[in-house]
Amino acid sequence: MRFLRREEQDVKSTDKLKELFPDFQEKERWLFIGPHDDDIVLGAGITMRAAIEAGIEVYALVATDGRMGYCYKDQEDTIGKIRRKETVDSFKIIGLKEDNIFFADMPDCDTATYIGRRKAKPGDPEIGGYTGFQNSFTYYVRKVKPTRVFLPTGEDLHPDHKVVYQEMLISMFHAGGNIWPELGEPVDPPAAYNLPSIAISPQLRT
Amino acid sequence: MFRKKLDAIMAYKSQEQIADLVEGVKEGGPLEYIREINFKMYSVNNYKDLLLTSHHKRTQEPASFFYTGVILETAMLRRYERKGGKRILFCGDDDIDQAAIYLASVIHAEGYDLQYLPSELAFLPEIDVESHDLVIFSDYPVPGSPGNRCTASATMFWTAAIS
Repeated sequence: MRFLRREEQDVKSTDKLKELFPDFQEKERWLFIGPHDDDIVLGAGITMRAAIEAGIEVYALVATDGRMGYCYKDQEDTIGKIRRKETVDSFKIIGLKEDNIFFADMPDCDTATYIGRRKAKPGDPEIGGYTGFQNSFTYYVRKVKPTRVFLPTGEDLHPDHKVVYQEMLISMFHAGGNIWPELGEPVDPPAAYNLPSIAISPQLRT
Repeated sequence: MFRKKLDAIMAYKSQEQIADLVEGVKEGGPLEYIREINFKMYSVNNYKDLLLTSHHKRTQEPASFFYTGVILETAMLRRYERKGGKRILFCGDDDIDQAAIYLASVIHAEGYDLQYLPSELAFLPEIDVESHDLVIFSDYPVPGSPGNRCTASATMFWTAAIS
């Protein structure tokens, strides 16, 4: 497998994943964030597998609960559970440990309602008595302590992808400070990368 | 590895609506594209080059920056104080280490309290003219005049700095 990195004057080519990153650490931990369960393997299935083979500790965080992904009316109330199982099966094929799969359970297609952080009300996805993307993402960044995070691009047409992009970046800032101590200890901010290949978009700038 | 990726995608049997995306992945082959996000917290240093005057770039003299146009321009008035001396505001002759050095040196040597404004910076209304005993314009663009290119470019410089 070849890995290419476009640099200012040249294209670096290598068959070793670690040579792609000038700041590669001995104990790398990569966190892939998908707005929806299938986004990560669609956009980064190979990257994820390559990372696992390179000995990197890999994690996946699925932001939404999949409730709006039904194609048949009789799956309207069960699609979330169906997709949860499919997600675990899919990541197993890639080689991801089940313990390394997290679900933030924000409502699919209703992500705008959960921008930010607020006290949880009954029925909200909740961590430490609070809800919202910034609550959840801050918690998971502190829990996983990733050296790199991979997330959708904000240029995507899908509003769930836009929300996940912006909320993850601000959560990385929160996670590095001592705000909201119930969500864990502060961590060093990870490097961040877009996965444009999961974008539903006419054409992204390069 | 690509086979594994396709198999992992196909595990989402319920997601029939992504069929077009899956076809796109198959067509694209075993390629993935990742783009680094330049995620840096704000630092004044990120904007230094936009805000430094040519004088500061040449001399690397530290400057104070404020992020409203008016304050930045007035902060760019350089002071060469002489306590008790009459106050002179000298504008123009390029910059203090260029043509302006001759007259500025004389003014300073004679014991005047000198404030200096380079030609490339606009003369803004906030500059307190009344507090000076003498204002000297020498080869300095006059606002509103046909030869006002320096003031115009300083205004544009502002716009870039603020945005």
